[in-house]
This record gives sequence, structure tokens and C-alpha cells, in this order.
Amino acid sequence: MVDPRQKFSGSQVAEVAAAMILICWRIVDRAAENLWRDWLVLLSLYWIFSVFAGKQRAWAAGTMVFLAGLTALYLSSHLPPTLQFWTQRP
Amino acid sequence: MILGLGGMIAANAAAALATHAVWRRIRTADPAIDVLLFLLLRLVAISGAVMLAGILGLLTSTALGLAGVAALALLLLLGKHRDLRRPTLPEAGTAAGAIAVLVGLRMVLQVWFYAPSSGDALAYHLPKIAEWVRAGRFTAEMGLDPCVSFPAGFELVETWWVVFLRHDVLIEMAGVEFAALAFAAVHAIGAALGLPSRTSFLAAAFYLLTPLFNLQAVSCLNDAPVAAVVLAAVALAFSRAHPMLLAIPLALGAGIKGTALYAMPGIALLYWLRRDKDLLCPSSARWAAGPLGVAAALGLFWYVRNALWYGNPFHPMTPQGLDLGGVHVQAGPRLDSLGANVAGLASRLVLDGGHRLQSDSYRTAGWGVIAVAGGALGLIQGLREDRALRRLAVGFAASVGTVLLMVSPDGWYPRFVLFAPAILCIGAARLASASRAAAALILAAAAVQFATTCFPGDLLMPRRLALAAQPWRERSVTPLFQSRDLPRGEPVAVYSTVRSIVYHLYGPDYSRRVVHLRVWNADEMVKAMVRENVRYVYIDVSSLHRKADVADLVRLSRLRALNDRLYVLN
Repeated sequence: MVDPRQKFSGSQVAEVAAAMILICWRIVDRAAENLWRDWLVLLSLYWIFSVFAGKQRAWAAGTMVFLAGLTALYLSSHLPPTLQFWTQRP
Repeated sequence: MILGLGGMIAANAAAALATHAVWRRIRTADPAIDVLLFLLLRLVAISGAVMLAGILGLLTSTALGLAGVAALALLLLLGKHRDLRRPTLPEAGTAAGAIAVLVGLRMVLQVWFYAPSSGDALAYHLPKIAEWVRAGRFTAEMGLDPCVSFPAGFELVETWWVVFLRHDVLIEMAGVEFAALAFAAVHAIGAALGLPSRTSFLAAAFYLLTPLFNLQAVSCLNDAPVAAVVLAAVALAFSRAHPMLLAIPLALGAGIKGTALYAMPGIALLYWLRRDKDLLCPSSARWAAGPLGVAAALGLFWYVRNALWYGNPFHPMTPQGLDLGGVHVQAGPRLDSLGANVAGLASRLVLDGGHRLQSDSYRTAGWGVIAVAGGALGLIQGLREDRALRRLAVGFAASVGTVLLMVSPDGWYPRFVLFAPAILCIGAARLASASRAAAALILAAAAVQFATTCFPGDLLMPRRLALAAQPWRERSVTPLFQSRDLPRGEPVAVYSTVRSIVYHLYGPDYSRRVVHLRVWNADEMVKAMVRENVRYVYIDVSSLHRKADVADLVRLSRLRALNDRLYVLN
């Protein structure tokens, strides 16, 4: 995915640093065991991934992985109260 | 009813024709912005008509219907209908077209089969409409809730949809009008970004599917309309429209809800960031002054009225804020609120798992899976590639930030930033356009989102279905709550010291007189009922002392309890 000889531009370094700051904030703000399902942490990881992957083939595959993961994360959180609502009686 | 229907059709035709006549004079060179302007002008026209009728005491089906017929006749005589042109169908794409049509059809069904059921709407938004329609004018009496004096710009549009029929069966159409405005606004933002037409339409369709927006649009609540006018302002600012055009949605928003003003710093920043772009001017600045003047009046009216009535333009807000039975409404900026609101959104609310989806955003963000998954990823990628999108995001972030700085971190605050998912929807549309596999997954998520937003969680499903099963003339939440024992047409008094849902007491055709009692105890309540010649009373008091007073009257057989809220005087 990444050529080790490749040099990164200043803006790429800044992007990775910004994403790392976001992850650090989430580590401070949230319990460690919940980080794997933290929306902002996952987005920050995707951001870092995008910096390294550019628009190569790996980007498309990686984006699908993140997309499927975030979709599953949302639905696993959202569907239980929704299904309960559909079947709940007054 | 038939005459009312005729009046409504004539008035809507006249409003559309008059709007078109003005729109022709002020449209710009940008087709996407012009569609947005048309919808804004129509809202200004009908809101202005209701406001004028309310002030003049002409807020009746007959007066507005006759005015509509006269205006239509005049416009036809002037040949304004000859200026109408068949609009060219844009290239929307199959997916966007299908989503927009499905959501549109569902909204029509929701308008017909739903009746107002959201707590805030029943407590303080809609009772004032009932009083206005019953009196045929704006009234000093608007109910007992402390929030009745908040700006009521959205209620003007709702009044337009009830006054002709003197019935609230179509009241949710007001929200549908703002949904159309939001759709046009997101499309215009996409067009200004230089996205292909299909991608812009897909973004707009995704925004229409945003759960909270979708549910609010048919729930008689004003946060979706605020989001729509904020997005309209964003579209105009991002397209560098003339300040006279930009000021129209800003003024309209100020008259709908004060929270619209909180988003303005971001819009101003966006306008400044686009200063390198040529100004998008109206065909005639002179003609733009008219709609802007009406919009300014619509925005200022409520603040001037409150200044005159209560000595405070922002009544009931004070410099210390407002306490509503345990909920504190914040006044002014607070950094700790900003931190708590951002953390709450990012940590818990955005995944919509804290509660079933309700139109008041209780413990959920209501942004939906499209925005949270594909939208966020597409936005990150877009921000890395597109300078214009980065500028747009800075404007959005500033608006979201200033709004979250100004509101308390209570259980309902995400509704104040309901415009925010629009930029995520643009991200989702970009991603879907870039990858077929991503598009397939996002569209599958859209289908789930469509299914889970059919029914607002304000009513449990059996009650929602019971509501829809009622004949349309009687459709109301009345049989579902404690007022079901109230005889038809019998006036009722309300003795309440807490937020009470009272709108349904008026009946869907506003046939019942509701007397709001401003009394200190049960004895005063009885005296006031005798004076007003009312036998039934709806009681909702919080203090144990007041409850004991009522219980004493029941024990003395002065009152008879029909249920735990409704009583009748013996």
C-alpha cells in the first residue's frame, strides 16, 4: 500500500497528527473498552488510512471495510430500540 | 367544507402565481438557486398573507378564500399565467428520483393519516393556532404554557393549511413545504460545489431521508423548518448570492425560532470565505426589496410584539435563561455546554441507540445511517480532495459550534443542529457516485432508514394505528388520552401549572371552546368555571397542595372525576 521510500508532505503529516489528536481525545474521554466502537475513533482511523492509501485499489477495499463496519455499528445500536418500539404495547 | 376547499385551491393558486410573478423579477443566473428562491418566496407570500389576515381580523376561510379568488382573478386578468413555462426536468438519476418520490408519497400519506401527537406541539405550538382560527384573528390568549410567546413563524404556515377547511387534517403540509425547501437547498449546495447533477440530487434525497428531519416534517415541530431555512441560507451564502437574497431566509428563520439566529456566524463566515466568487445578483434589486421587507416583518413581528406585551422581546427567556420543570433553557454562550454537547453527540447520540426515534430527538441525534456511515467517510475523502468542500465544512462547523455553544446539554439538543447532516449527505452522495459497491451498501442502508422512519416514536404503535384508523373528520389523539370522556362540543376549562398537552381539547375542527384558567387554587378554579359557564375541567397540577384542594372538592361532591385528568362540576 505504501512505498517505504515515499516521503510524506507536510499536509499529510498534519492530517495524521489531527486524526491522532482526535483519537487521543476519545481515549481520554471514553472508557478504553468502548473505543473499538467509537464513531470518532473509527473515522479518525479511516482518515489516517486515507492519507496512506491515496486513491489506490487498497483505498476502495479499505473504504468498503470501514463503510460496512460503521453501518453495522450504527444498526446494532439503532435497531434494538426501534424493534422494541414496533412491538411495544401502551 | 367544499367552499373552504375551493378557497384553499384558489388561494394556493393565487399564491403560486403571485410568487412566480415576483420570482421572474428577482431570479438569478443560477437555476438551482432560482428553484430555492421560488420556494422561499412562496413561504414568504403565504406567511405574510396569514400574518396580515391575523392582524386585520380576517383570518377566516371566507375572507382568505375570497381574497384568494380575487387575487387569482386579478393575476389572470393581468395575464400572469402566460408567463408560466413548463419546467425542464433535471437529470436527477434513478436512485435520487426513487427516494424523493417514495419519501414524497409517504409524506402525503403521513399528512393524511397522522394527527398532531408530539408533546411540544400539543402543549404550546398548536393551541395558539386553535385560538387564532376560532377567533379569526391573532389573540392575546394562546394558552397557559410558558413557551406560548416564542416566535411563531412556522405556525403561520400551519395556519395556512388549516384555516380554509377549519380542520387540521392537512396541518402537516406546512412541514412538507419546508422539506421541499431543504431538498432544493441541499441540491443547490451540491450544484455550487460543482458536483454532477445526479450527485447533488442524491445528496438532497439522502437529506430528505434524515430520520429526525423526516419525522419532524410531519410532526408540527419547528426544528426541521429552521434547518431548512438555515440550509437555504447556506446555499445562498455558498453561491455568493446578493445580500438582499441571503437576508430572506435569515429573516424568515428568526421568525420561526430563535435558534436559527445561533447558526448565523457560520453563514457569515461562509459568505466571507466565498468572497473570491462573483456576486450572484437578482434580476432586479428593487423587486427583491418587497419580499425582503415582508420577510423582515415576519422575522421581527414576534420580538416587537413581545417587547410591547411583556417588555422583553425574547420573553419568556431572561438573561438567566428559562426553567421549564427541570429543563433549563440556556441564555447566552457557555463553553462547558459546547464541550458537553459535542462530546454527547460524538459519544452516544450519533448512533441513535439511546431511545426510539422521536420527533423531538430525545436521546438520539436522528442523523441516520446514511450520514453516520457513508456520509462521514465520503466527507473525509471529499475534504481531502476538494477545497470548496473544505470551505463549506468550515462554515457548517462554525454554525454547529455556535449553536451548540448556545444550548443546554439536555436530552433534546440535537434537534437544534438538524442542518448538520446535510454536509454528511453530500459526503454520502459523493462516495456513492465514486464507488458502485459503496453505492449498493449506502442504498441498502437507505432502505433500512426509510423503514425505520415511517412512524415517529411519539406514540406507541398500537396508538399510532388507532389514530390512523379514525375517520379523517374526527382524527385526533383525543380518544387516546384522558379527554376521551369529554362530550362533543362541550366547552372545557384547563387548570394547569405544568406543561400540559391541550391542543386536542379544541377538536380537529376547532369546535370546542377551551378556557385557560389563570387561578391559584381549586376554589378560584370553580368560581372561574361558573363565571365562564363551563362544566368540564382538565386538571394537570404538580403541587401536592393543589392536588389536595382538588381531592377535597371531589370528596365534597363539588367535582366528579371522570378520569385522573378530567373532572365535571356537579
